[in-house]
Amino acid sequence: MKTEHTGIATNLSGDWTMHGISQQVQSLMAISNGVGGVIPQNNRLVVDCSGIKEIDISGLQLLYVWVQCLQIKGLRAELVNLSDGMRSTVSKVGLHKLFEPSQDTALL
Amino acid sequence: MSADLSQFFQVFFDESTEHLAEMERILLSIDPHAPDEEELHAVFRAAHSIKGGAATFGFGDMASTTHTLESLLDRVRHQELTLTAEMVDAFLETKDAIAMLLAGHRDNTPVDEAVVASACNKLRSIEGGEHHPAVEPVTDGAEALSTKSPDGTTEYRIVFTPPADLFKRGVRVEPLFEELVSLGELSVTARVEVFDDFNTYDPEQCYLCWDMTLLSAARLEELSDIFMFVADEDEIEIQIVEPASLHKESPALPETDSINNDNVSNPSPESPGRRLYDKNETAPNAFGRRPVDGTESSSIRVGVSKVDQLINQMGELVITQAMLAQTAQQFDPVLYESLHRGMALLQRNTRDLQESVMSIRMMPISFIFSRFPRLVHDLAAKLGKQAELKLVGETTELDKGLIEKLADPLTHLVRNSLDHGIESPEERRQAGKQPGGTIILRAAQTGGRIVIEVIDDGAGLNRSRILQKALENGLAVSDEMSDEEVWQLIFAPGFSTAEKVTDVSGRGVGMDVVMKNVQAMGGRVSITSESGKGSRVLVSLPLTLAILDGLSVRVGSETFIVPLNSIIESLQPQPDDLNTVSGNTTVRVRGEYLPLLRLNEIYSIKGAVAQPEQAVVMIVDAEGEQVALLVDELLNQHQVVIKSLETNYRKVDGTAGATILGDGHVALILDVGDLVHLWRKAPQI
Repeated sequence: MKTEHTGIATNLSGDWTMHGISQQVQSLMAISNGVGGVIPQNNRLVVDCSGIKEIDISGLQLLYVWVQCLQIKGLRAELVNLSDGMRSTVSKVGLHKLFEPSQDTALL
Repeated sequence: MSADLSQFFQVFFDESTEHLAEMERILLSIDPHAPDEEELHAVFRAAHSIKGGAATFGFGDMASTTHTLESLLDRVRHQELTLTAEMVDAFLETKDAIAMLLAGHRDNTPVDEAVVASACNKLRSIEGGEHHPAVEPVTDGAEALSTKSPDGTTEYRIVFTPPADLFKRGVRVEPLFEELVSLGELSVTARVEVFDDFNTYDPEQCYLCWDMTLLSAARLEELSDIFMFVADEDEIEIQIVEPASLHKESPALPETDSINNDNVSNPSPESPGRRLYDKNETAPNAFGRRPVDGTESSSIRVGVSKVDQLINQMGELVITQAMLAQTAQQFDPVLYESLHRGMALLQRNTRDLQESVMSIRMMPISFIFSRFPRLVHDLAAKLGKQAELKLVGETTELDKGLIEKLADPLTHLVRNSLDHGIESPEERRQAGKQPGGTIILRAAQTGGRIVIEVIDDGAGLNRSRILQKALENGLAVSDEMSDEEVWQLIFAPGFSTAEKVTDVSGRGVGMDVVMKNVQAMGGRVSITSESGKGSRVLVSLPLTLAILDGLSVRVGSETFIVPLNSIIESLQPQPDDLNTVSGNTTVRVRGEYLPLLRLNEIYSIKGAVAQPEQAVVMIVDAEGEQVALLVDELLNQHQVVIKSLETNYRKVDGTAGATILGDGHVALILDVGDLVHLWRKAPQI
């Protein structure tokens, strides 16, 4: 259920809904504070979302804010391997623009 | 943060049941020709609450059915459609369908999809068939011209700024977007508060807000209603945008016009763009809204088993307190003054606690009565009769256990009254009566019992036919039987005088079931009837099943408990006040002769005082009738815990159970009404 991060990529997994989101915050904090051992190449961090089982608005908000905070630190995050369900939720609730490349973030 | 929605299912089921009951109550009382506006709003709100909850908990079938109902209700309450009796019937039918779906989700009972579909189709055909509203919509034609595009759609701009505690409250807003998408073409853009320090991030806080554009034929109120459960008035802003076609032709016009803006062709003083709730619905704790911060909900739901456990423990506490009190009497009141003061305080506190605990289980009888208007409405229509139901004493409180068991017997009685009692309009006219009959359902607390009456002004029971039928059924009858005895024959199993068996009644399985059920509750049923004028069925039940106030009395070496609220007075009779007629003694009390019941004879107790003038006579109320009980002496007043004799021993006639006294002895609790019946059955004793 925990977020794992290795090398230039980090893997997100588990429950990202209101029920399980508290567990995700600490790991993301560790990464954004630079204590997770992640040294992204070219200031680029690939975030693999394939392990996310379920996500709702609270999870998307967390993800966006985390990406935003990384951006302030000069790291560019790319979200990859989004499930169809996650893409659909992102689009449905109007968060797609927040994850657009113009924000130095990519939905791949 | 984590929340298991299933734990709220029961709350949703309970609340929806209440909403459906309220909906039915209003629909049955509403006058289709002059409906009360507030009542229509109330029905709509009930439907809307059910829909909101059903959607939240994933009961799509319920949400969809209620949505169909709500749509028509909404048009009616906004006077776009005129309410008709046909609509009321369709609403009731849909309410039944929703109740069936609810039961399906709650109890896994089968759901007849055809019934649900039929109800929805009926609503849609009513809504679709009414093209010309009898009354003009609230919005005038000018507004329609200015805001509707040629294809009938309106462009809305919605700004939704949810409260920060949205996630904390467990509110899911995804269904909201789905609902908006279902209304038309939706474009959504979310905005998030800028964060520079992730360490300050609180996952329970919502930092989002949304800008939306919706092209839809839906009305503004429909959009507002979607947000009803997630947003307060100041958190949602809905504006109507000029139609795209007019934009192109008039580029100089501002892109959007707020409803409040004077430029809008229909300036509304009530600012519908900001309006989330109808008039009188904006109170902080109004229907379906969250309580304002810092206030507590006025009630909580607790499982019945927990309440029962509390009552059982309370009963044990009462017994323990009584035992302590008895023990304390052995100590000198002067030397042990503080002990006695403490015991008095314990007694008072125990009594207060007992009253509080017992009140938890008490429920108004309206919980049962509320189902009968619908029953009478439907059954009268089915039988081609006219009947009015009057409910009296709906606030009378009864133990919850009794309420649940009382529903079926009362349903039988009301159905019988309507089917067999009330005549057809023609027959009533011929009998010189009004074409419409009246059924009165009355509840009242008299003495230590609850008395429920089902009274009708119909044809009354037919004595000769009952006797004839009883004879055919092999029952021992004679023409000399009193009316009361004859009426009791209809409680015999399989007895029916109905000339034809209908699906309503007449199979003869009703009244004996009524009698059995009522007797199982420690109750009695009696009937009075007058040919051509009507009948009255009286059901008498104990007030509560757990604890009662009683007076202990001694008869010989035995102790009995007499329920306090059935005692009128006690006296020592003078020899002149006593008379013996046909072997039965009467006591004259203020000029009135009352039968004397000798407990020592009824229960074969030896060593009791035989001469009434040397004993005590208690005047008690036996369901409206006064009788005198002969006892040796009055002992003490107690709160006693009723223990079932049937469970622990066997049924003892004339008693309502037994109790354990402070000294550990068992005392029978007298049921005065039953005692009178017992005495009448055996007048020789």
